[in-house]
Amino acid sequence: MGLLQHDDVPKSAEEHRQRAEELRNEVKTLRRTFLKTGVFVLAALVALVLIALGWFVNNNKVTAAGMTANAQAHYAFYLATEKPVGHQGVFDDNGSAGSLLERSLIGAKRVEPEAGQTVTFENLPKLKVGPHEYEADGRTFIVADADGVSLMVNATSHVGNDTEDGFLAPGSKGAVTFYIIPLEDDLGDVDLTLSLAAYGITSTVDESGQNVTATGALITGDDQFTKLLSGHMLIFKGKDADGNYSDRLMPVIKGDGTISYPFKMPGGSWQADKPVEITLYWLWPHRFDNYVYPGQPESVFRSDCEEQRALLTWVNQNKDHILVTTGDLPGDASADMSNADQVKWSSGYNRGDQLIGNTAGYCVWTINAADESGS
Amino acid sequence: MREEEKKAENQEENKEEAIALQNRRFQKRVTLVVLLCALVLAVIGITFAWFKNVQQLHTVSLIQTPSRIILSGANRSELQKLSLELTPDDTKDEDSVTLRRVFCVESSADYWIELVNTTNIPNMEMKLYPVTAANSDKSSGQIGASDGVGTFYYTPDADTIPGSYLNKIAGENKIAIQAGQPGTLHDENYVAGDAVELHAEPLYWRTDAQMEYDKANYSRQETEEGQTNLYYRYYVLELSWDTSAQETDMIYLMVSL
Repeated sequence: MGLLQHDDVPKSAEEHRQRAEELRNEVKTLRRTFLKTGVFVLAALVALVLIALGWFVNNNKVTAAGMTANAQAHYAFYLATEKPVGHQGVFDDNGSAGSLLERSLIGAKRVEPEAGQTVTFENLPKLKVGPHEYEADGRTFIVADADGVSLMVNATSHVGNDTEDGFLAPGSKGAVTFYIIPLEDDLGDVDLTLSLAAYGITSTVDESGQNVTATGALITGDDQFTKLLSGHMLIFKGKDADGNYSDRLMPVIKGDGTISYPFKMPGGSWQADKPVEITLYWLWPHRFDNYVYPGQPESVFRSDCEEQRALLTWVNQNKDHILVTTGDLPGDASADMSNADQVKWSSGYNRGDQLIGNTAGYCVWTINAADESGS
Repeated sequence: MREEEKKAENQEENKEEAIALQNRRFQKRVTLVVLLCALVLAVIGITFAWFKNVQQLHTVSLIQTPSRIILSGANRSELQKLSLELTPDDTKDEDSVTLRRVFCVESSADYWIELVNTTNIPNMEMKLYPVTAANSDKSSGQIGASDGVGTFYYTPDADTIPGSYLNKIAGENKIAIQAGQPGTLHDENYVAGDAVELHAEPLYWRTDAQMEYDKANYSRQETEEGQTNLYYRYYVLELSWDTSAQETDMIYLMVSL
């Protein structure tokens, strides 16, 4: 306000009073201005602190590239996959031209070139084997990072991709195993998320008719498809020796078309450097009656239980996650539903399977751990 | 002189006001710039802060389109039963009865055709003929069949589709291998202790090879079901037995992928 720029001294009592009044007004104005700008300065300060943290982590990641994972000491735990017994399944040749993934897509008739045509694939995922290894409990692990590394698969831990001709389809099931390696004792709850992102494949032929370009694209905006995938692909956190699943992970459909299954692991009793094995069980029921009637060879549940009833309740509350109907929706599914409803559910479920299979060519699974401890 | 002083004072006041106005404008600009900087920095900062804590594992699985198969009737009509009532096209003489029935298989993958029957009627013959000539759904042919609205005609090939029983006892008699014997399928259907009459134990017959769903030179046509290509093909099931047999049998026609 130029308060200190005044060099003229008041010469009378009246001028004194006027000058004092002016000064009071200027101080008031200054205080308001300071408060206003002060808040913004504080916001900028907070932003700078966040930037600084981000810089440290980024720097740390670069440093770690050529070193052991110990350089990532800012994490409270590592999300990891076991190295010695695993491989990448369809990603063993890492998405290179003519890779197993590409051959499998042709083998599964997701891309159907005619005789003499050559196929070029575009936008297929290329998963990297993590560069960071970590020894814990006498075992070697590959540590995940922010960009993501490939989950090792084997005969017991896979998503239908452990063999050349493996795939997801009605009736397929399995498990995925990964690890949390605590770097300190008593972590408290650890937040984890499994995400499924389905991709479609579109093929175009050039003018010569000889060259096919097959492009993978994330399926977004197809609400019906995403709902069906979330209802046909069931994920559980537990499975007992009798084959009974428990702790179903509930799907959350995201705006970009991916399906998220958030869950927590209680890390209160975990010890530093003692790897904790986490297994998620997945299945795509073969037929709709597998949801309803327990105890059959392909049933979701071996016996009538609380989980069974909860699943059926969810199914009845989310019929559009299960069915593709050609007419009216059936009544609620139950063990004593009418024959007419049974036919509607079964045929609607099969149509749902068809829609999923016809829409999606492959599915990217992401296991995501948010380390709340900061750096 | 007094006026000059007053004029000078006014000029001084105007000057002060101008300075104050300029300062206020300057401060507004500074405030705006600081605000914008803070917003940009906050967005970048928050983004980096989000990245710093995330660890991810990825994997990929292929999704297979489920195969479809439908058993239908003449002209691909919905089929719930095959009537075994005699029609004018069926042959019946003093010694034997022969029925011929048309059915259709619509499929998106190779499939098996299976026949299951109880064995009360001795030596009941079951034969399966493909309809390979391009004569589907024609207005004339050897065998007429109704789709519920009109009649369509089909001409079967001369040769049968080869197949074999999965659980027939050795020798001429068409009887299923009983429980406890090598080659029985008894345990697939019954639990221990079930008492099953000899002729109620079903015989299983299956084609020797899977039918190629998109084989050339068959009476096939491509259909659209969503985006799934379904090919369809007709068959003729021929049943014959001696008129002396006064028994009842159950026959199941099945197709499976």
